[in-house]
Amino acid sequence: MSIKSIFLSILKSYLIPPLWMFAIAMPIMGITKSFVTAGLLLIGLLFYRLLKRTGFTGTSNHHYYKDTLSKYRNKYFLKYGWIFALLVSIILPFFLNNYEIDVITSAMLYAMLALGLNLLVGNLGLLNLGYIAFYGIGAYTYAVLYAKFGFSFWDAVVIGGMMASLISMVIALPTLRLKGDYLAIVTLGFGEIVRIVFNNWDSLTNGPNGIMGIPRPYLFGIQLSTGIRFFYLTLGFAVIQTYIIYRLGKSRSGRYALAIRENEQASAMVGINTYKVKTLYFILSAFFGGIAGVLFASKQMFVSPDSFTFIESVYVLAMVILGGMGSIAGVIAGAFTLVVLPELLRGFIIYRMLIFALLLITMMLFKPEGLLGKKAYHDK
Amino acid sequence: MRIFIQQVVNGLTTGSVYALIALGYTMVYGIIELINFAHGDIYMVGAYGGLIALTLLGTVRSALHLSGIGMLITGITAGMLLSAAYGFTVEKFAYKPLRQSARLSLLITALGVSIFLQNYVMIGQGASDKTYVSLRVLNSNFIVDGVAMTANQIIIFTVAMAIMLALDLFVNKTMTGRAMKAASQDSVAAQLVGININTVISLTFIIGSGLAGIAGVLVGFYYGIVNFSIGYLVGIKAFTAAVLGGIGDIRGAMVGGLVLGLLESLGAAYISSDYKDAFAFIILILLLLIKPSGLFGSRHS
Amino acid sequence: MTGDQSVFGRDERRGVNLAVQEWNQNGGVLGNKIEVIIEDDQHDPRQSVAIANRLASDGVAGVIGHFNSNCSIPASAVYNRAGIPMISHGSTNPQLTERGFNNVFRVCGRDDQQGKVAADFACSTLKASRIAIIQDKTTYGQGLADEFRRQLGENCKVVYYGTIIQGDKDFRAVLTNVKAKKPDLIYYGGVYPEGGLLVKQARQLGIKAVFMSGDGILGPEFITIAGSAANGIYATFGPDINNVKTAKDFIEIYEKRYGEPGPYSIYSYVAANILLDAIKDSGTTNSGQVIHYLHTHIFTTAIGTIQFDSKGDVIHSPYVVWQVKNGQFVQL
Repeated sequence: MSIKSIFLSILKSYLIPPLWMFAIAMPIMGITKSFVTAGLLLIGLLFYRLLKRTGFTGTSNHHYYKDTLSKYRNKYFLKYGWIFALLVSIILPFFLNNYEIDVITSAMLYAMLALGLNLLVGNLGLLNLGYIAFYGIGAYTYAVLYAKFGFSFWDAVVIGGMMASLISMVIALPTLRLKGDYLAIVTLGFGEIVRIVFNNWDSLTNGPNGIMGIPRPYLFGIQLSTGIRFFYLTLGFAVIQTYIIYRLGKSRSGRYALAIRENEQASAMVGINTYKVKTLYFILSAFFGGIAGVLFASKQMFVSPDSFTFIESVYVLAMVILGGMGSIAGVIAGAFTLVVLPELLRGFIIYRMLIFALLLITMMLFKPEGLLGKKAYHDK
Repeated sequence: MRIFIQQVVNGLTTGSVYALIALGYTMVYGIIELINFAHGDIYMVGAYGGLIALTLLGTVRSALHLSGIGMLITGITAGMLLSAAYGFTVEKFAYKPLRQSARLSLLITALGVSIFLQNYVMIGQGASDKTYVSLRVLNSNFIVDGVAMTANQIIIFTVAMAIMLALDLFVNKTMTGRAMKAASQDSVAAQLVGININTVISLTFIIGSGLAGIAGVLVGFYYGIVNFSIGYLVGIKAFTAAVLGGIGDIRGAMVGGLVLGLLESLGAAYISSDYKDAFAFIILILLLLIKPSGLFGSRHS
Repeated sequence: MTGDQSVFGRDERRGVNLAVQEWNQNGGVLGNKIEVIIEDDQHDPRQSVAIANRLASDGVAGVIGHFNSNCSIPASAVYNRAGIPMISHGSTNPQLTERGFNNVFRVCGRDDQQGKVAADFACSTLKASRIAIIQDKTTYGQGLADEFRRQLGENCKVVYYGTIIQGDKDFRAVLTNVKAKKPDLIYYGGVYPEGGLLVKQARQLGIKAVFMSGDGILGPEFITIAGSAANGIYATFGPDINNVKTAKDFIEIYEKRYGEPGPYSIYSYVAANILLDAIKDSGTTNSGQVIHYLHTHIFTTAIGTIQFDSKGDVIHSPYVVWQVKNGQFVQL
């Protein structure tokens, strides 16, 4: 390897990409921003080179059954971590102001969503791009039941979940036999159709203006009108949901699901009813989404179609991906990160989505199984 | 009857736009089996490319004695080039490294690219709508027996037709084109006979994106305003059109686009204009459930 | 502040900033400098409620806004719970002040007034006998269109009532159906991004009917979008401030700093001034007292004298008809 060829190869890898980036960015971004973009790219390339040398990147084919936390698995840290987390969440509100409590409650709702979506994406490897529709169905069910019939929160919460499950059954039956890509698109379509219906079925949903004036629920006679009271309500639901999902993961169904994710054909051949497992998970995932939706409607005290857009589905998906497909702690962490971080970085609000997008891309390029991903995510 | 024809004219216009964009989807899927979520946003980039070029030209227009047609052609070329550049770049940076990865990863990356492009343009060009230069030659109206047509609509349709013809000839008669066709049928065999798969893939992206860029500029003129979010909805509809025609089939994409445009226009007129956007999604879902191979079927179902 | 109606946001921001600056130059209020916090709800009610919660938490002395009725109405509930005075400069839907919140005020008019003026003009002055109505399904657009329809006289028949979706760009399907009904006048309840396209596409389709709308389309952006199709269309709005003596100073200062005032710039300016006056004259930022002051006093402002009724609406708010002539909105 002559000096000349080394020089040329360095030129090719580190000079041409930033230059090219500058050239195409210029028309859209203007000179300064393009310069910054090109510079960032250069830094990114150098950083990647560095990471490669330390062996951090690379496909996860080598780590088939290892996971990031396997070293700590049997330490007390992990076993009792749950209790610690629970205790922290119970006393947390006393140290926060109203706004912060609101943010944490929001994060918990998203965590519930992420857990629900994780059942499909993380545990089964089925991409649902329209998950937020179930959130919306739950929310609107409560809103309409309240507005038209005066139902209370506690009546509605179960109905909301059931409604979401029912509707999910309708689409589960035909769509679950589709291939991965097509399933994703169909769920996307479904999510959008639901939103369009919310937006246009004026007589039921009041169209784009949404339904206002939903009251907070009563518990043992006290109305949960303050942030802190509602926080505990949400915490309660979140803990119950987490526990159910945890038990599910440990159960036979859980193991079937994992098998299906790793190799669907093989699972079918050993006698697992893949169809039944997939349907069960689909309906369950929808059910949790619906419940979270009822909580959401109650928290906001109004619903509108704008809350249930495709980008929200992607947002929840990102939490699952970031945190680790299949890992309960992971997706909860992912949810909290993606909710709290933007609030902390309010100053950079216009760059928020940009960074979010880069995050998605980088995760896929370097660590597709998520930060705390359990098993290697690997199929073709 | 006149009203019906009017709706048909409107439908064919939007349909031609869908067709142009659908070509990009179908070609990319044919070759690497990826649903390029970001393709709609490439269309949007093209629209902005045209906008920027035209705004710059607008200031020197009289000095250069540029006619309306001249402006049109320059705008389209600028949009096409910018789109092609972005399409190529996206492929090189985000899709190529993942060629051996799980399909899901590619899909999610494409999603990431889509969101990235939207916000990228929003930061660079602002969040509010931008207006296109208004060309008198395009706005001229023809009223034929009660049915109104603008020159713009006619141009969109003819350009789309011309492009399909050209693309069809390219893919079937030229060496490069046939290499692309071969690669989409069986990429391993194609490599075995000496086709450089990387070049072919890049070329596919360049051409597909360029076409989307042309569509972007044409639409910019048609509605007169653009903003960073126009890519998403049109992208999904164009994808529906591609599936409708049979994903992977170029002629199918053209037909699918026109059919979708018509269905949408007639649906909005006679069933409900509120649910106009839902039609595309409903058609998409029904297609994928009942006949994923679309009208012209292909081996990729 | 951002998004497709960002021009309205910009005008609002400038109006308020101008007012605050003048006050700060004269020593602020009650010895303190005034700080303006700017928030963006992107005409999304979910954001507006989140913002309201945040502002309430921060303990702001008062809120100017929101602009869109579908945002100000839910947000007003939050401000009401926190007891913070809220003065909207542009929400015209009647519901805003009908909910019994005593902290809610507006310096603009209401759509029941606006609809009546429009209906009278369409029916009696323009003598349009076949009328088509299109609205964008928002609280504002639908509200205005419905008020218009309610106030139409005997001789005016509604031959078409349809909706469009906000954010959509292609309205030819709806317009073609409208064309089939051969209306004399098309009334649009909605804002300028869609309004501009509607007019443009209507003319391209060969529809010759007269076009009329409300305050949501008033502004140069509408004309930019609609192009030459904008000429001749009518809109209802408050009186031209160029004809109002008290507005002269405002116009001068605004033009020097920002250029030509937008239709709502003066409203936000006036709203800010009223709030600050109330705080100064009641000697405290205690919201209970400020609110009481707002209800019980008469304010001299750049657009004239303003007095609020018990609901928070301006007593005697006039609406007049404007028309686009030679690419500019002119009061008739």
